[in-house]
Amino acid sequence: MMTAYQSSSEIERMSLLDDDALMVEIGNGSQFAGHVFIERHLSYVLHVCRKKLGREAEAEEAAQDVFASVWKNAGHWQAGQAKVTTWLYRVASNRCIDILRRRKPDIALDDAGDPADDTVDIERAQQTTDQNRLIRQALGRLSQDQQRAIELVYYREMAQREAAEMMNISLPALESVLRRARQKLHNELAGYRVQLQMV
Amino acid sequence: MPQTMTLETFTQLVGSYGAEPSRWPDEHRAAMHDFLQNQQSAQAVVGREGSLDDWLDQRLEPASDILHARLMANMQSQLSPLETSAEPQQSPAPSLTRRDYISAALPLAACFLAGVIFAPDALELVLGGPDILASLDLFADDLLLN
Repeated sequence: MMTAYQSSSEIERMSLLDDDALMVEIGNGSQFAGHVFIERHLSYVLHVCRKKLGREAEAEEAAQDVFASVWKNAGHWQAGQAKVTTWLYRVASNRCIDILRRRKPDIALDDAGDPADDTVDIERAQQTTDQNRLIRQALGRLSQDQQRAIELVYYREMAQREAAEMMNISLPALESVLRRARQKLHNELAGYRVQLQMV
Repeated sequence: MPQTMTLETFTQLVGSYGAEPSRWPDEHRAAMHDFLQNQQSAQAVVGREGSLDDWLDQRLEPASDILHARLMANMQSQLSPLETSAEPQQSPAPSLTRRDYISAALPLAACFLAGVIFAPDALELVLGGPDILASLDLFADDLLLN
């Protein structure tokens, strides 16, 4: 049996691998690699499925099928033939087309989107998930209070007084927490912009 | 009663709640609107905070905990962990050591010894005295001779 420490160091080791190497590890049966793969690509796959299907339950069903396909086919993965994300996009697209056809059996392939000519969509989906990762990293660097305040007021659109009550702080204190959080996020955003200009 | 809006208050409020008026505090919203219409410096503040809002808006709705748990469970059922195969396989029937044989033989030897020591007395007690034992001896001798 592995200890929790060994498991976390193994997951850390796997998270340093690129997608190709991760696929090889999954093909060898590594659950640690599978864990890292889910963490790395779930947002992307789900985003693609949501965009194509528009219904959360169906998008989740499609995402599960995509990952089942990964576990099944990782052993045959040939590094360098295609990008893992491109392959994931195609698997997700095909699965979504199946679901759309099930929804409307007479749907034409053109109406469902042609998976053979979707380079722009793949790039756009990749950019969106990369951006998502950066935002999550930036939010993750805020203090617990700041994260909670942003989550409640910004993402859940909660009224200020209600959010302050939930956090057990006064309204001026909430405003102060939010202001500091947004200031930090401004700095993070400026840092990313500099990085983007350098690329 | 809301105070007169100043650039400092406006900047602080927008710095806290962002550029979207629906997130501004109810008691200040009207005054902030008026201030924004009339002050160019306020528009610069809103523009700056709006770019952060736009950036934050790009966060994707995370996967539900249920979906995440399902994917993890499915993955664990489909992949066999490497560390299990690296562990030594347990033999279904472990081989017996010399120590096992000795500890099994000791009670048997003790029973045999007790039998040798106590059997004559026990027979005498059960069968009723030395005469009976002697006649049993004779009977045995007859059997052996015949």
